Amino acid sequence: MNIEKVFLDYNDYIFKYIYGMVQNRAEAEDLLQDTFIKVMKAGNKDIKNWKGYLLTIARNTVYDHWRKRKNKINLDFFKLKTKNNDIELKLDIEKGIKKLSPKLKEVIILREINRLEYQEIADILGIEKGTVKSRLSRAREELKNFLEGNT
Amino acid sequence: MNCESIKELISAYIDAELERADILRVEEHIEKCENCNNILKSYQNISSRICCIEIPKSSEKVFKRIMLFPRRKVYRLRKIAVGASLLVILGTLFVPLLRNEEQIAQENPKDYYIVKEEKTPYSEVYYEREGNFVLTSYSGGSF
Repeated sequence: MNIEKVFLDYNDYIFKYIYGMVQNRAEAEDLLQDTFIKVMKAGNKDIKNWKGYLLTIARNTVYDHWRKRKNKINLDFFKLKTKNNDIELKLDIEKGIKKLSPKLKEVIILREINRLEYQEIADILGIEKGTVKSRLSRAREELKNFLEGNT
Repeated sequence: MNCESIKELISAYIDAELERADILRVEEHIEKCENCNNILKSYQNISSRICCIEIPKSSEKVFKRIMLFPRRKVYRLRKIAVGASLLVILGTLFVPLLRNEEQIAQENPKDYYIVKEEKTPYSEVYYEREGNFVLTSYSGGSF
């Protein structure tokens, strides 16, 4: 495995996913770095589906990050910076995505931004194809309600 | 055909993830039902708006940091360290067996000769082997 090549081939694709999930560039860059370091440490050579493999690791990295942040929520209270996060989100649709629960957010990102098929999403999330279908339906409904309420 | 069951299908319809029969069901229903038609349009609109989201590119420094991350060297060194510490552990286990000088002296008396023998108050027997004095037996009084 040549990590350099893997990075150059997939970093945009993986960054899109991570950025979609956290919607903050600096945070997303740190998580992108963590993702590829994890890949290097794992050192798996016989990966057939790099996209799926990297997305799975990126997803775990994002969830770990959220879990850790949840634990030190009291510290975040003192960071005024977090208040400015919304400046990055210029469009209503971005705010709408931000409001979605992680479960719904990730299906919409994997579908609309990473352009994956239902079966691929199901494989990465370890859920049934039918669940992907219903979660996407719910995500779109919530986004629709958010946008209608907003205008 | 109720709207509720169609609503579930509309999302999959725009993702082109429906079976032919379901596609026909949705299209047939949408023609007649304005409400569901509006849902379809707003879902399509949401899709195109998400596609418009400008996602920044990750900066060069991420690539540099990843490339600078110590890779194989660290893991090779670690392997060596693990191997070495295993050898040390195994070594200390076998040392007592190898170092039982008395046994060796008894088995090969020619390699050893007595250099000092004290009788009082206890008897100690020293052997010399390759320049080292080794106490090999001790008997007699208590401390």
